[in-house]
Amino acid sequence: MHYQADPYYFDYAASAPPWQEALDAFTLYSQKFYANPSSIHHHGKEAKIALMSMKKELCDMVHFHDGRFLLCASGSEANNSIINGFIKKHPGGKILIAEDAHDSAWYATKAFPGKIEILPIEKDGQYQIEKFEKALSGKFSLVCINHVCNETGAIQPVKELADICYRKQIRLMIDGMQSLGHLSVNLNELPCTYYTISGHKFGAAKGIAGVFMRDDQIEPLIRGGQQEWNLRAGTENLAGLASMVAALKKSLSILDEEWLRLNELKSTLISRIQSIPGLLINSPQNSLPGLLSISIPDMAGRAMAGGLSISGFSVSTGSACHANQLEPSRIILAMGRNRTEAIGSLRISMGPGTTEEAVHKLSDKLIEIAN
Amino acid sequence: MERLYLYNPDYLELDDAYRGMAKLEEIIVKTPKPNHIMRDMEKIGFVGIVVSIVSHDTAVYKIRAFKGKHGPCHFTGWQAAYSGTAMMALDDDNHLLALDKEMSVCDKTWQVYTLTPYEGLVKCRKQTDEPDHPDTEIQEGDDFESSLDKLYDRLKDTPRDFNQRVEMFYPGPFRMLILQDGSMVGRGQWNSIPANFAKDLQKKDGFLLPENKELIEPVFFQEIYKEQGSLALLDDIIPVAANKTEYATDLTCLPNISKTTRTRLLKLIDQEKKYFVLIGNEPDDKLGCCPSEEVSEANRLVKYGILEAFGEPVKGDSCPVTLYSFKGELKAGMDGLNGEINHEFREKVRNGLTKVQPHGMKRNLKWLLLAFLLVSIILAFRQCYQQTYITQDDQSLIKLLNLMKVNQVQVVLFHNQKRCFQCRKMELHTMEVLNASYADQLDKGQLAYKSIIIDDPENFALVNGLGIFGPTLVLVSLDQDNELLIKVLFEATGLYRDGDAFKDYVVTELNHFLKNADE
Repeated sequence: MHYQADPYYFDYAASAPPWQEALDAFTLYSQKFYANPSSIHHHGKEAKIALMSMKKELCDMVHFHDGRFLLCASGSEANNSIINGFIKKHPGGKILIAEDAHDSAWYATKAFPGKIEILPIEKDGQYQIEKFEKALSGKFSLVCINHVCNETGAIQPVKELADICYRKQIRLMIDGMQSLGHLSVNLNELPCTYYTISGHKFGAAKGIAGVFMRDDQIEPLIRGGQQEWNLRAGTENLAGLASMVAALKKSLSILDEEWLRLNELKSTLISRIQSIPGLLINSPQNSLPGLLSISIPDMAGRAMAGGLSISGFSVSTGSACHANQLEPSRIILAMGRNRTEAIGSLRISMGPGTTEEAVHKLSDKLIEIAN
Repeated sequence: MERLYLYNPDYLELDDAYRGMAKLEEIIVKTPKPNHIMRDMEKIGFVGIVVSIVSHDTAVYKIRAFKGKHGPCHFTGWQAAYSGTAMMALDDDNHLLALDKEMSVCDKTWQVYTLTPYEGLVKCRKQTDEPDHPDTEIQEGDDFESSLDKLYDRLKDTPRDFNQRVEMFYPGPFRMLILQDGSMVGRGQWNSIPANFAKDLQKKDGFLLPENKELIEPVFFQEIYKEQGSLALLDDIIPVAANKTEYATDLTCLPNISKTTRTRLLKLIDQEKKYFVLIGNEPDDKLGCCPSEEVSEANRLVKYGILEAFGEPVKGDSCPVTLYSFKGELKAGMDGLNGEINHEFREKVRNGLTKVQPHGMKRNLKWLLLAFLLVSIILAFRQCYQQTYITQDDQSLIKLLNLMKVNQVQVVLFHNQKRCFQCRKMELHTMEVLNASYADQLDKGQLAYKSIIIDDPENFALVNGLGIFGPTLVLVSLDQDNELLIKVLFEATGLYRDGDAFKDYVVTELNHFLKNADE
């Protein structure tokens, strides 16, 4: 199926264009299973069976066999559900949150001061396993880390960290928003307690996200219904789930070839913009091939994104959620960059619709703006 | 612990229940279709399944089971042995337990055996002393196929006695039992049992006697195994191709395979068997369950295009079962594995396996002599001139060592694929001393630690070049002129039992090396 996306769109990390297959699945399930899965009539039961089958299919795709998938409406809701819900259920313990966490997890540092400690990132944007092991004492009841940093694309050593948490019997939440659909995720080999995802990051319809969870030790964020084992009230978004399953299937089917192709595009982009004076590459070596974070000191990322936008290119300044703020990127600062460098940061993210020609044109435009 | 009750659930309900259960939580299902539900439970990953008859009149059965094991495998010295009446017992995770024979099991498996259904049937004991040579232990998953082979050898001439038998119901918790005459006993069903075992099976293993039950045809292991091989015991497996990539055949690796694998392959050829089965994971996958060296070697042969792998769809968090056949012989279809033996290909493999042995021995002897010479030269050199460095500019060595940074010093531990107590201790002491005394250099990337597998064919040139034939610590660096500086810390190998002496020696040598690498 043809992928309908503008090749000048370089903001896949904010939201990926939907796959046609995902939209077809959304339409089909909306038309076929319109009943409420909680209803007791046969239409409702059919929808319930379809819901359970879809969840099982999704879980099977990530080799998740010993826990449930909790539906949410967005990635931010998924992260909030775990952190907020966990603190409500276990008010005694402390939470360790990684410095590169998305704002939907990072909010807890302000909302629950005194309950949160920070896991620092290194200059390359990654966690250091030894430091993590040393920092992880029994006072923590939950650890929140990224699988892939949404701003730099840094791929974190989650396997090792999950093993440490497992050995120390501390619950672990992994934010997998930027990883699922972009790299191979095998939850059978990842002994985390919660793994949060969002469908539109890999080409599903918007409004569908969730948590793979190995326990239910959270208080619900949304109340007023018994759906999702009393953990999230509200009619289940079956059509959204069907679109997410279709999008994941499609993304996984092209994963290996896309990995290589995007890696080449990233290399091309880096080599072409090397001539920009003072250019800094924020993405570490071990990062998603389709995501590149750069800093151009003395240039405002906002201004560059604006300039590129006029020429038809869509890029993001740091995290897309910061787009209306003048504050420097928190994560780029945490990597040891100064304020000017952090303000001059730009996130370029690519996907299946990105072409080599578009990369060439983007790099030419970037050089033009920077000079 | 809470308990979950369900009545006659379908597959999706059972699957959802399993996902929502806590680790080792209990479930009780009542159903008139015990076999159907039991198969679903096995597929989903329940363990310790026990089927009991609630009412003969209404044919209602109760199935009791537990959520399976979670998370990575950690071996902390637990040993388990079956102590019932049968000769062998097969659990829900494909562990084959022999009567009164201890097997090393991971913590997860041990926890399963502490569940009430296994009470009095599995004896667990923690081995308190660290063995000197743990490599010789039998670990779970390691010996599935060989145990079955031995069992077959033992039972193949045992006369099958169709007389004096009795029908008994086996509730579980084992998926299958094999009795001393070869009779196979399945869980949740009526089985034909030799009458002389009935009393003990009833007392120890909880078998039930029939009420006017019709005669049942006995099933003998020796017959089934001869016909179907080890897949007979794994009857629910639907194999799918595990390796998606098609590898080109390269028979040159055959001289370097272990004796166990060589014997296994020759047996496959001689006995015209179509496949063999291994249980376990790559040892390098530290989160994988049941690490197995044999799996690792078989997977290498897949990459050399000699074998092909077929796996079962992952079930719960159990040890993976992999079926290996010679490349191109079998194809996975809806009705299982089909295909014919390729005699021509097998002959080539046989030639590779048999011809290479003397050649391999000769070559090994040659390398041994060369290594001995090299070591002698190094030692003599050190003795006479206090000069301890070898310098070479071999780019292949640089590539193998992955030396990217100039002036970075690498501390390399060479060890065998099968990790022994000595090399683990050496690794532990080395990591401790590096983290304690060189944290700064490690952080800055001036110093790095890595390990290299001695018996990996890709490393042979490097290993032979250095004259290494056991666990050895080596310091390497690339100087400004792209020359490789190498120092083999032979004395460290002998100091592994004395942690302090080991560390002192490493610090002295490493400081000296760092200084020289800087100059």
